[in-house]
Amino acid sequence: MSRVADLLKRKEQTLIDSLNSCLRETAFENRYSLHPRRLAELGAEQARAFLDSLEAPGRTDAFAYGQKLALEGIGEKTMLLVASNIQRFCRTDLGSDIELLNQVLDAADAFSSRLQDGFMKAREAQILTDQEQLRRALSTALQNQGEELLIKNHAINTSINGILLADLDGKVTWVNASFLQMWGFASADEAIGAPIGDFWVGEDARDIVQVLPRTGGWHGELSARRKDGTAFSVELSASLIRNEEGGAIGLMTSIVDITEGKRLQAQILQAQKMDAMGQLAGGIAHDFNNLLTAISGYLQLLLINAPLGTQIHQDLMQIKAAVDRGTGLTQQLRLFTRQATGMSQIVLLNEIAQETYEIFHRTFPPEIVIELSLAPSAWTIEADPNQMSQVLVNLCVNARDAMMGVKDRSPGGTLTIATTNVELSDEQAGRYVNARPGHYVVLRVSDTGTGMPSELLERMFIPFVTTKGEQSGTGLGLAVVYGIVASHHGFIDVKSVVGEGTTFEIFLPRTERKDVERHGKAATPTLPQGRGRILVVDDEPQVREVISRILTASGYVVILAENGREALSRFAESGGIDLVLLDMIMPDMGGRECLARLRKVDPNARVLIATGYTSDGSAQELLREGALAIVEKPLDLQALTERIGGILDGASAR
Amino acid sequence: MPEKEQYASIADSSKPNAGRIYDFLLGGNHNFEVDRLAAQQVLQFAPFLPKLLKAIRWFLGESVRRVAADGFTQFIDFASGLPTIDHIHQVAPSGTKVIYSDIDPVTVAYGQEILKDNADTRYVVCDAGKPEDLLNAPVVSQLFEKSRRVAIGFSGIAWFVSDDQVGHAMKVLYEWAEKGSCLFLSDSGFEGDYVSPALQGTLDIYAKIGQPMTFRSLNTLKELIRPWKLKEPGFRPLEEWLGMKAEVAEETQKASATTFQGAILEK
Repeated sequence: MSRVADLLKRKEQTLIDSLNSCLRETAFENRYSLHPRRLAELGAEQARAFLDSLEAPGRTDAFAYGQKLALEGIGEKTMLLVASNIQRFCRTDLGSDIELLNQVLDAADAFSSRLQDGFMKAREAQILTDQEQLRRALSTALQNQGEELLIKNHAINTSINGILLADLDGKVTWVNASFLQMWGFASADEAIGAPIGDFWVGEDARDIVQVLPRTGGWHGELSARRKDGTAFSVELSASLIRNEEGGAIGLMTSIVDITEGKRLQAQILQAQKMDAMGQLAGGIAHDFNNLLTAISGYLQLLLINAPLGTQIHQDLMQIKAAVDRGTGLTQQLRLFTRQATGMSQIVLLNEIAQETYEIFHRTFPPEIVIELSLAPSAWTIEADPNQMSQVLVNLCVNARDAMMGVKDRSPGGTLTIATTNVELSDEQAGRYVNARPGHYVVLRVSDTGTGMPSELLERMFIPFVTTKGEQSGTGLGLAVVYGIVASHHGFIDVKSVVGEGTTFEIFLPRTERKDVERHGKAATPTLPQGRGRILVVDDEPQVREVISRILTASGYVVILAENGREALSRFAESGGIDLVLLDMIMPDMGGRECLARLRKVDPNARVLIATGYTSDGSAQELLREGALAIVEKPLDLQALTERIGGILDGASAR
Repeated sequence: MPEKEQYASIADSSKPNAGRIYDFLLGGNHNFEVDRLAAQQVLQFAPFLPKLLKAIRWFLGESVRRVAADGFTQFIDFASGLPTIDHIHQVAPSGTKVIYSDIDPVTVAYGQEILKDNADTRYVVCDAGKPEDLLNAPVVSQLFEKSRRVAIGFSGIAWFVSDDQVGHAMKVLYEWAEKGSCLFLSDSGFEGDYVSPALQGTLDIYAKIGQPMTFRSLNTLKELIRPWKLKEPGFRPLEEWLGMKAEVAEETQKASATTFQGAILEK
C-alpha cells in the first residue's frame, strides 16, 4: 500500500482541489458553526488524513477524525460527497491497475467507514447533548414558572383583601383566607359552588355579574352579608379573567372591608360637629352667665331689703329659684363646652363606682338589677371626682330610663357598672378619633334597655337632644358626659342595639402620679364686712354695677373700669388699690394682658380673676402668673364678699 | 431571536417560538415539533431562509474575527440566543470580555448555565430595542470596569425590531460608547416596490407567532444607524463578507427583492 500511497501523494493537490471544490459547493449543507473560511483548510486536512491512512494505516485515527468533523459542524451530505470524491480520485488515478485500484478502494472504504462511524457517533452525541440542553432549558423554565406561580398563589392567598373567583355563570370557584375571615366561614368549601349573589345584600352583585362581560370591570361600595346574616360595608373591584386570546374565562373580585373606615369617618364628623356645637354653646353660656350674674346680684340686693315673710320676699325667692335653675343649666352647658372648673386630683374610679352603686342600689326601682364589676387593681386617673361622679350618675339615670316606663316593654333589666384596665395599641387607638395609644381605665355602664337607633346614636351627645318628655330631662345629660370626658382627655365608645340595650365605655387615661390630696378642701373664713379699695374690671355694665353695689354695701371703696386698658389707668391714678377683681374676656385688652401689666407696675398687686372660662387652661395659667384666685361666674355675691374679705384680711394680718 | 414583548418563551413547547424556528432552520436540535411545523410553512414561502440564517451567523463570526484583529477586547451582543458554539467568546481570543443578552429569561438562564465557568462572560436579560437597560446595569461596569471602548453585536436582530426601536437603540449605544467603538449589524435590504407573496407569507407566519418582522430598505437602515459611521467597505451582501459566491443574495433577491447586508460601523 505504501507504493500506492506514494503514487497518490504525488497527486495530492488534485485531491485537495477536488475536495475544496466539493466543500465550497456544499457550504450551506454544514452546520452554522462551520464557518466558510474554515472550509479551505478542511479540504487539505481530509486529503492528508486519507493519504496518511494509506501510507500507515495505524497512524490516522479515522474514527476520531470523523468525530472532530462532526463537532466542527460538517454536514452529513458533505461527508458523503467527500467520500465519493476520494473514490473518484482513486479511480481516476489508478483506474488502469485493477488490482491496485481494488486495494485502494477497499482502503478508502475502510477509511470512509471509520470516518462515518466517528462522525455519526459524534452526531448522535451532539443530538443527545442538544436534547439534554433543551431538557434543562425546559426544566429551568418550568422551575421558574413554578416559582412564579407559587409567589402569585401566595400573594393572592395571603392578600389582606378578600379575593373571590367565580366562573362566568357566577358560581364561586375559589376564595382566599381573608374572604373567609370577612364572611365568617370556617373553610372554603362553605363558599365554593355557591352563587356569587349569596354573599351580598340585595341584587347589586348579581347585576354587576351581568354587566361585567360588557363593561369589563366594576368598582364601588356594596353591602355584604356574612355567614351569620349580619351586613357589612365593603369596597369591591370586579373584573373579568381573560385568557391569552382575550376570551373571558371567569370573574375575579377583590374586596376591602370598609366598616372600620366608615365608622372612623363618622367619628371624625361627629367630633367636628361636637366641636362646633361646643363653641356655639360656650358663647351662649358666657353671655348667659353675665346676665345671670346681673340678675342674681340685683336679686340679692333686693332680698337684703325685703322683709322676711312678706309677699315680695316670697316672690323674690321664686325668682331666685328660677335663677338658680338657670345657673344650673349654665353650669351643665359649661361642662359640655369644657369651661367648667375641675378640681383635678388622683381618683380611683372604683371608689366612685362603688359610691354610685350604693346610692342607686337603694334608690333605683327593684325591677332593675344593678351589677358591679370592678377591676381588682384598677389604675388611678387624674380627674375631678365630682365630675366623674356626675358622668356615672348621668349614664346610670339614662340606663334606668331606658329600662323603665317604656311603652310596650316590661319594666326592669340589668344595669352593669364595671371598670377595667386596658392598654390600647396603635392599631386599637386608631379606631377612635381622639384616642392615643397607651393605658386607660375603662368605666363601662351597660343596660338591657330599649337601645338606640343609629340616627339617635349620631346625635346623642348634642345638647338638648332627648328622647324623654319635657318634664323628665333637660337633654344635657349625655352632652355633659361628653364634655367632662373630653376635658379629661378621654373618649367614649358607645354600642347600642335596638331592643337589646346600650353600653357606654368611658376611656380615661391612666395617671402615673401618686395619690396626694385626694379630698382636701380649704375652709373659707366668713367676713361679710370689710375695708379697702377694690378695682372692679368687667365689660358688662350690669355686672360692674351689681358687684359695685354689693361691695360698697360690704364697706369697700369700689373703683370701676370697663376693660384692661382703663383698669391700668385707674390703678395708676387711684394709688393704693388693695384688690383688683378682673374679668378675663373683654374687648380692648383682656384680663390676661391686664394682669401682666399690673404685675409689672406693681409686683405685689392682688388680683382676683372672675371668669366663666375656667378649664381651658388659660385661667389656671393666670394663677401661675400671679393671680391670687379664680371666682367663677355667675358670681355668688355673698361668697365673693367672703372671699375678698378673706384675702384682704389675710393681707392686713401679715 | 425574538425581540417582542408578546413572545413565546424558548421553553414553551406548546407554541412555535421564533428562536427555536431559527434554530431548526440553522440545522439545530433545540426545537420542538410545533416549531418544525411552523418552519415548514415558512420554508414554503422562503426556501432560502436556512442559507440566509447561516450567512447571518457566519457574518457575526466574521465580524468578531475582524474587530478582534483590530484589538477589541470587550464585546456587547444583543439577541445572542444560546451561546453554545462559534459564539463571540469562542471566536475572539482568550481573555476577551463578552456580555451576551437576550429578551427571553429562559434563554438567559440557560446561557448563564453554559457560561458559568467562564469568568470573562456574562449573560443578562435585555430587549435589543431598549439597550439602556443593559448599559445601565451594574454588570457592565463590573466586567468592563471604566472602559467603554466596545464592539457591539447587533447582528440578525434588526429585522425583528421596529424602525423606531432600531433608531433608538443606535442612538443610545452611540451616546454610551467610547470614541473608537464599533458596531456590527446585518439586516434586510428590501429594494422592491411591492411585497412579494413569498415575503408576505413569511411576514404573516412570524406575525402569527407573535414575532412580527420589519423588512426595511437599505436607505432607511442607513438613516436609522446615525450617528454611527460606516467603516469600509460599508454595507455589503453577506456573502461578500464571507468570500462566497452570491448564492443567497440571488435567491433572496429573486424571492423577495431583498439582499441581506452586513456592515461594521464606528464611532
